[in-house]
Amino acid sequence: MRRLRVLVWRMRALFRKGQLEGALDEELRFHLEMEAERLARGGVDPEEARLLARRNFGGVEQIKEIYRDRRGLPGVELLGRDLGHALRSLRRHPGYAAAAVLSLALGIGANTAVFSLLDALVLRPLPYPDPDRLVHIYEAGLSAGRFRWGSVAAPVLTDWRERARTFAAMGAFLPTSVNLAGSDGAVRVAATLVEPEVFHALNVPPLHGRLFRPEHTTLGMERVVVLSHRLWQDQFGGRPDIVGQTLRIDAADHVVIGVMPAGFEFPPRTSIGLYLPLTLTSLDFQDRGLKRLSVLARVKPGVSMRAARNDMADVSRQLEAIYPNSRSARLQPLHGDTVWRTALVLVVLGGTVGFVLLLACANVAHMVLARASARRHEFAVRLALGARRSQIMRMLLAEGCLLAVGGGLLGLAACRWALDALLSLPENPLSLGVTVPVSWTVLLFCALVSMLTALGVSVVPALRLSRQTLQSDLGEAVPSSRRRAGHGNTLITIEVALAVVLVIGAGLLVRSLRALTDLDLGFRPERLLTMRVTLPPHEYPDVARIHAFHDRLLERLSAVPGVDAVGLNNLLPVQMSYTNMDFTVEGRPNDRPGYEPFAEHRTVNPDFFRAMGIPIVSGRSFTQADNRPMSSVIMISQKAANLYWPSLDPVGRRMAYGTRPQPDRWLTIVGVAGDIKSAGVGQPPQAILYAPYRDFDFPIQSVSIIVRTGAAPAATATAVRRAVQELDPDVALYWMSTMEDVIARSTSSTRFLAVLLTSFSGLAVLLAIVGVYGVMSYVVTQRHREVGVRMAMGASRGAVLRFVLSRAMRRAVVGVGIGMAAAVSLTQAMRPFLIGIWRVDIVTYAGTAGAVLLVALAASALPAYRASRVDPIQALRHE
Amino acid sequence: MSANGGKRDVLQGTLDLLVLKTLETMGPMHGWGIARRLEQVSDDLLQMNQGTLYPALLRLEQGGWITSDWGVSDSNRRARFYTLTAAGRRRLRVEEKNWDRMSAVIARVLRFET
Repeated sequence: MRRLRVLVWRMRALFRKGQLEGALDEELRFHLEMEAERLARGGVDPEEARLLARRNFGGVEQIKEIYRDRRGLPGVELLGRDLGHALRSLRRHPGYAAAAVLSLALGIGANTAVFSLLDALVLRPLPYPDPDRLVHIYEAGLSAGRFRWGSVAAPVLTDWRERARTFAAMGAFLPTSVNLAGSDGAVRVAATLVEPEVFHALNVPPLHGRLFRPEHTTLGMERVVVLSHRLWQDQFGGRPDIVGQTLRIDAADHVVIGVMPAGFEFPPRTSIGLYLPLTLTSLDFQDRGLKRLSVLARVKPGVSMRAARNDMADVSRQLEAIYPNSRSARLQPLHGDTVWRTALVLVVLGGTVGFVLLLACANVAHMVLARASARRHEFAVRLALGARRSQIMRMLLAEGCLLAVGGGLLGLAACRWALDALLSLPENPLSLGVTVPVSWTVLLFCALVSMLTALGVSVVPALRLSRQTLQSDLGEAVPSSRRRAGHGNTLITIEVALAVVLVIGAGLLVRSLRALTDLDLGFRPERLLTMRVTLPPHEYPDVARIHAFHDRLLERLSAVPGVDAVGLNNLLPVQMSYTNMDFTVEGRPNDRPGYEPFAEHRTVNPDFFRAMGIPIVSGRSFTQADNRPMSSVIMISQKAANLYWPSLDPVGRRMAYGTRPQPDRWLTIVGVAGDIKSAGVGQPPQAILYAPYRDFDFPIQSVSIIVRTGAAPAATATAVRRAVQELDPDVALYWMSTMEDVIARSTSSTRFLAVLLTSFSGLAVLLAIVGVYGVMSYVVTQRHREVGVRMAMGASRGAVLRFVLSRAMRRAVVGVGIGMAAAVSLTQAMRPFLIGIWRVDIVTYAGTAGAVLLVALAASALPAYRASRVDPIQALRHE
Repeated sequence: MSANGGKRDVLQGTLDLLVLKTLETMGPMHGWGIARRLEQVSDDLLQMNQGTLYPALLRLEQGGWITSDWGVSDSNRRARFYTLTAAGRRRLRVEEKNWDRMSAVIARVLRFET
């Protein structure tokens, strides 16, 4: 208590220093006068009395000093003094200070911006209570490690729900999109079909109204919808009476029963407009191999993730006893699954900006060092005059702090700007309408980075200072020791290495983009117009009506002028593939559980292969005669043929859907199509089963249409749209785009990173140029006399030039070597974004090495030239 | 007679005790007054650099044992007067007791030694 009181006293004193100082003066003056008067009264001469009074008092200034130390907080005042000194010292060298602060601002700003993104998009917890208990459950074997959309069949989910004991709720969902009719035409809105259990698992109460009940998922009941907060605000102005209103969604009336609170979205980190009940039909339950559902579950409170995993493993074993070929269930935390791809982008980006900051720090450290060397004499004088080593070190630290704080503040301003720039980049894969605030954690991060930077740039000169010997520096007017240039050499190596890593990273991405244009997708993407067509489910509830519409649609579109061929596919190739199918090869029993054949399943029209430009490798394509129910024909991709009919010609052989096929449902393979990059440009080709759309008895209301045009695809777009409208105005036609645009979007992460890494590596090269130039200029100045001696001894200007250049290049070569070695391991993180090239791409590495060495040579050319112009007589006289 | 003119150094804690005691006996006083008073009662034997009084006064004020205020001296000049607080009075009691005990102990030790 007393301590605190004293502290408060002392802190107050800091702010009233002038006033207190005046009071102290007055008090002491009064004392001295009183004492002098007393002595004078005793008969001492007045002048003598004044001196005597002072002697009785003791040293006035010493007493004042003791008094002041006790009055304020000496540490704080000292700090203020150090900072003031540092500020004055920096102000004398404005160019130096500006360069240092700007470099640091750049590094800190970029780091803070990327950390803001990381915080908002990856670290921030999901917007549900206890998000750590939410998990995806999926069947093993369909993809390595990561959760994959649409991997669970409805009967399997039912079995899981009945048997699992560690989950509070488990439900299926399907991401989709719907047409929402408004006053000014329809808008396409992202939607999620959810079972009521999904909302139970998420455990977020609605802002208004209520959520789905089990009866809402039954066909024939009143159709209901739950709106997101954003859609409610954007489309309905947040009107309070929205619950109970009727909306027209996909040409059917839906009653709004609830509105979710702001910030709620599912799947997480998306901008979903509305939620519809997921209705499973008897068709869903007839086949355990039809995997189209995604499953969300909440682990019961108090149950560990391990226990939940064990529970699902038990359930899987029970099911294997009943269905020998069922796949075991796997669990993944929802958060990890949601953010992993974003996290990958940000890891690469974070590494990049980290390197830029390192480069900036290296440059600033060199500037500080160079200045410290120039100030050796000054320091020596200070030491000789009685300054303590610790005081000079404090002064250096204070300068470092000032630079870092300046850089941090400016960086923070730059961060906001950089964030906006990052998020407004076209084809940016990071933000889906997500706002990225500069939060407290971010400010803290920025402060931390600044402080580390300050330490980084000032600790080296301070350490060197502590090794400094007084006499040598006082005696030595012109410093010329060899050891002093040591830091410069190391810096050149480090900076060149850092720049090399970044340039290689950028080079790999740019090469990926180049490779993309030459990449064989397995089809011809030029002059293809693609679109998605969705039929209103209530008007087209069964396969017969759906197929009839598709027949008419294909016929109508083929007649549009400028159209060469029309393809139909349940999913557009290159976009994600959702539907996986287990199957059985005839004559080969599925005796290894978990290793049953499976493939993407695509329903197509006979003209699909011609429209896409996919070659038929063996056998034949579908004919119109194949496109009928029970035609019992199928086509497979080359990959499927290699995987499941190795060293055989699959044409003419038979297979069946499911792991325990019904004996009468064998399908004969009539042809093998060339592989296509169906799951994405960067992904390897998948095994695919192609079925004629009329032979697949599951109602698929949404299909992709691919139109191969004679001229530019955009020209036929209007005619195509009109043709669809004429067939049925209630049909939703959307996502109309050329195939080339679809491909561009699917590679947006690579493009985004390529743009950023190219700019950042440009920056890195610039910083490295400044660094190499700075170090070499410094070295040349420092060795001015040595050069003079060499020339006086007969060295030619050319020899001096070579001497300086070879010095710089030796370091640069070492740096390039280190940088390339580091790049080989660091680019590991970039693998998901590299398309069509190996990460140890020789062209990129060799090109980078050559370019960076040239740049280093250019940067050291001017200092070298200056060295060769040294006038030996002047240099020696300078002594 | 030692080097500093025959004045004995005043122990740190002792100075606090003496100042507090003086203020208790004499009421509010200014710094010079306290210094003079200490010299008088000790018959100029216990002398110190008068200046050392001021850091001690500051320490006591920071501790809340005394307060200070500007007033007018007998000679009609502005001076800073120090007053004992209640806390100071309590501290004085404790310090006096400590001193008594300590001096008794020291006296006993000295008697045995000589």
